[in-house]
Amino acid sequence: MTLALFLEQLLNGLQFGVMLFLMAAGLTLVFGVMGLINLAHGSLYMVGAFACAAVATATGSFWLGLIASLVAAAIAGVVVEMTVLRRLYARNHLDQVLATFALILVFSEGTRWLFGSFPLYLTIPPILSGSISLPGDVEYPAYRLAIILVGLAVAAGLFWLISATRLGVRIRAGESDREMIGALGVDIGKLYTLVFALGAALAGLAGALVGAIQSVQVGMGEPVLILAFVVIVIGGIGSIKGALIGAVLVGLTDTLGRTLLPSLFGLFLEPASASSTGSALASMSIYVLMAAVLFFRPGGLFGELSR
Amino acid sequence: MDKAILEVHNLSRSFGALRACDEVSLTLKAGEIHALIGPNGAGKSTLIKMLAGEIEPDSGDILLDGKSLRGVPAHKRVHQGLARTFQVSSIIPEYSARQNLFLALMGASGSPLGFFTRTSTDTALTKPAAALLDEFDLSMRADIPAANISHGERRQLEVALAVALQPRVLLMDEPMAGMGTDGTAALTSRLQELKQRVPILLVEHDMEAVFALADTLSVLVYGQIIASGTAAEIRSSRAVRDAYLGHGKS
Amino acid sequence: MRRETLFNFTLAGGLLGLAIVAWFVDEPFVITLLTKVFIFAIAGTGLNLALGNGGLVSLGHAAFFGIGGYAMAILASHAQSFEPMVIGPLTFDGTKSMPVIWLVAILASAFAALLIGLLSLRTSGVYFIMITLAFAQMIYYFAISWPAYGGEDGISIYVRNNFPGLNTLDPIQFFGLIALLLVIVLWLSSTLVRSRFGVALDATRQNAQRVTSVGLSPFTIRLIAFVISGAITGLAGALYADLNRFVSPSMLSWQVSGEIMVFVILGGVARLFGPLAGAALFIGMEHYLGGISEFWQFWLGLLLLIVVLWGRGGLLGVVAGERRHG
Repeated sequence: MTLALFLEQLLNGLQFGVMLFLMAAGLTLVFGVMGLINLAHGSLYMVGAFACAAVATATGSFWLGLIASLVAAAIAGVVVEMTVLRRLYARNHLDQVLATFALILVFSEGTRWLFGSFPLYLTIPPILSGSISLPGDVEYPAYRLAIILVGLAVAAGLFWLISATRLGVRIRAGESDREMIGALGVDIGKLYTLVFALGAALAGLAGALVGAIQSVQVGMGEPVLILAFVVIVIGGIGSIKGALIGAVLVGLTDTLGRTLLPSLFGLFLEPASASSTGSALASMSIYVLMAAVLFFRPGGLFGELSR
Repeated sequence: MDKAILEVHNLSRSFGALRACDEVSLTLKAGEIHALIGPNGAGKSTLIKMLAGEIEPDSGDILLDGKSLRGVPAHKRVHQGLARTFQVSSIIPEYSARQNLFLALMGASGSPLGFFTRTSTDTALTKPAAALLDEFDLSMRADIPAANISHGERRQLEVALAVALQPRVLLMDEPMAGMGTDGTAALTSRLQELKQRVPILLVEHDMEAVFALADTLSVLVYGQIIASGTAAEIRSSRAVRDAYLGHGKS
Repeated sequence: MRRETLFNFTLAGGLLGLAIVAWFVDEPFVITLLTKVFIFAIAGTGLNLALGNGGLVSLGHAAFFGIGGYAMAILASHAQSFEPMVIGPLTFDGTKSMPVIWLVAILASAFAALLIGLLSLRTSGVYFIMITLAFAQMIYYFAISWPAYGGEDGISIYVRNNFPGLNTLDPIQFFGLIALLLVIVLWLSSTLVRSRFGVALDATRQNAQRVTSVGLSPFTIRLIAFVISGAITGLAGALYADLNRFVSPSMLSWQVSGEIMVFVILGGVARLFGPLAGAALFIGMEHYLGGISEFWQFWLGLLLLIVVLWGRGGLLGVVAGERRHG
């Protein structure tokens, strides 16, 4: 494998990682602050992608679509939070799992009802459709590079939000002591809705951004959701930093595993079985990573459970 | 009377900058009640948790019948003869007193296995459970969920569960907590009887009960034992007086 | 007689009666539908042990269901192609015999449950949910990318496997066999719940600290429960594969994990007949609502939301009132 190819894969892994971060950040915030496990987070990702595709098709502007994805996912998030989820904060995890599983059914079938079963396609905006020359002889698609930059910018923005703003102070207070912030006169209901809308908007953004590389279809959210769970398990629940590091680790492991493992097995197996063994094992690599983290740090890399 | 059953040697544990337990040593002999007293936050609960194996000490050792308990997980310590009761009643809420005792008796036998015999017809469980219910005056209330029996009855059950384990040593974390005068008196005489069978390390805030029961007292302040001796010795100890009357730790 | 017992008899009797009527009027499709209900009930009974009695919210039981299915398909595909299986220096002939297949399915899924349980039971709560889901997904992707047994396309078995003395291709005979297995599994489950182990397991759900303090290890108790639970669900997977004569990675997908959980919840958590009631309700809805609307799962989702938010206790909770223990 050439260096250029390796660098390209590295960037692909990073791009996949920041995407997962956009998903995992919302999940981990919602769990950290409200104690809610939300399986329907993948549905918000899908809502963002569909909103972007629909608006981009109608207006011809990807950028309007992108804004629509943020708005639609945030609105969907607020509606779901206010009608269903806030009844679940005090419930046990089983009720939360079931109710949000039910929400997946409602969202998925509802979307299929509205948009049909055929995938929609998003076109990358012309400005970003070319590729960019990077040092080391790498020609890398501008759009994917843009995703990496957007992801990193969002990460930086979240860190700033949590550490330097009043909202951040409240979020951190909510994570450590839920009764306390109520006693301090903060409107918990509003705070929860706001946090949920923020997480939903990030998921919607992720859906829209990825929608332009893959296709936009019902059921696109859940595989990403499960990977975001893996990210959180690795990073530690409630930790934004853990989510970022976990996401990049998972992104790199998955992408590099897929390219490196088959060639690694090629060293001592015949090509056909090397590629099948390699790809089968590569598909498991991130879960092996998760198992290893669990074995040594059951609370995740940055979780409170781990000491 | 004077054979040491439980020996604690220089046990220490810190949480961050807080030294919750600082070089604590004590012994518990057969037939005695050794009471551990001290103000709130003095490290009594931390000590009990270390003895029971719920948290690991940073240094020091615990010997039961001369055998070290280092690295022995909590549930295995029970098999070696260490039983405990909890400050806040810790019972299985949906189970009746009888079923709670079944569980303890299974624990005493050392294994949760047994898949085919109903517990309600398993005489290895039902007979000793009935005897314990009788002994602890719980027979009348044996078959309603333990969440619905009175606080005093729950405390009795808590002790019965520990006794069911046939321990060599009993660790009791504030057994009188939340009990009225009558309940405290009843439990005091119960413990008086019990100590003949099994020595007790007692953490308690009710000083009247402590002075009535304890053969030996140790006073724990800021994680350190500042005085140890008989009730009379403790009463007259200057260090104890200073600690309780707020002259800081001396 | 307690209302719950009455309901259980009515439900089981009604479903069996329906099967016999369907046999008389020659409606094999209805019999197949009922067979499916009973198989899902077995899968749900397996999960109910971990979820209801043990309080272990496993969102990865599709792993065991699928492993059971693949155990059947791998053994039967080697038998139908007359190619022995080669594992290192050992070779095995495939088999079409149901009892052997069931045994292998049970052992394989129990082993998988042991491995997954050893890792995931180190954690609890929401971590446990996410980890069981993730491990099931791992096996799903492995099945997709492992070409030897069909990869994404799955494996078809041309003829249903054999059981001594029965013609398993006859729907009513196959149904009878499944019904017998369900009875055995339900008997096993009810015996287990009342046994020493069942008492320890339910106690662990309620108060693990107390269980530790009487000298029992909650980890070991949960692990044993998880393994038994996985094994029962694995058996159901082998039966489901035999019903369809087909397996594919979709048996391992997260939706299946969710659906098995839905059977348990719709029926009533920690109730012996909960999974059967839930599976019957689910298949009934799939059949009737599916005939009315293409988007029947939308309505299922709404129903489920209502059950979770307001109708706690599931169908059996509504019929028989508060859950009782002991």
